[in-house]
Amino acid sequence: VKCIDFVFYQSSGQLTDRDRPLGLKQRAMFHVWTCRACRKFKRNDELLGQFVQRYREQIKA
Amino acid sequence: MINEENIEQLSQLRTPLLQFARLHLADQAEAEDCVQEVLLAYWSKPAQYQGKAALKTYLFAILKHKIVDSLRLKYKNKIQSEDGICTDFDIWFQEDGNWVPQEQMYSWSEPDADLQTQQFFQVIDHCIKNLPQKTAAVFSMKELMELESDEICQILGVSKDLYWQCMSRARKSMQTCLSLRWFNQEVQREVY
Repeated sequence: VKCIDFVFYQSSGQLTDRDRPLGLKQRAMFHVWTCRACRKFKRNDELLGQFVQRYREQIKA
Repeated sequence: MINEENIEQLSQLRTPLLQFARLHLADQAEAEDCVQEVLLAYWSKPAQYQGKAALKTYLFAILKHKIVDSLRLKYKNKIQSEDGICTDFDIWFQEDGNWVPQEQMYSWSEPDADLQTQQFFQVIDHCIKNLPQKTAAVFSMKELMELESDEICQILGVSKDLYWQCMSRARKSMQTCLSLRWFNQEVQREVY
């Protein structure tokens, strides 16, 4: 897995999709352990999920 | 029966309903039509609302169905592969697939402090509204309407591969937009 692949898997939601192969998730996990830039992208992407969730809740509140 | 109190309540709910519809439907008139249909649906058959959930929740549920119908009509089988291919972000990476050092992301701060401000939500709103239209349709169905990916693929008539491309493009666009419009005010870019 290269950075470009990891960013695609992470941002498309494939790494949390139950139907995606375990091997793909494992390779992505090994990559992110060794790549600081991708860890940062992953953390921002996860925060983005939280921001959007809060945004969605405040619209419907 | 609709009474004075209901009328006032519906009038107050129109704004958040319209705000929500506008996130999914780029056209203002189309969003207004959708909300109008929701209010008319309630108005014509108020007895169908049995009070099990708050009226706002009930109306949002109807609105969600109306928006899905609109998006289905508008985009079903019209999102082609070239719309989803994510060439905009190729500049982030070198030929070997690794990051271009200056394209790496800012580190974002924890959400709590930022989320206390309405300004932050306004920036999110701006970023969502500036997503490419078809990408935005997929993103909003997943993230704002909380539909399952298979359901979205079925409604829009897209393959799972294309769905992933759209979602990736949307989330990368959102990350870029928030980095530029919010976080770069606070955080220095780190050097690797």
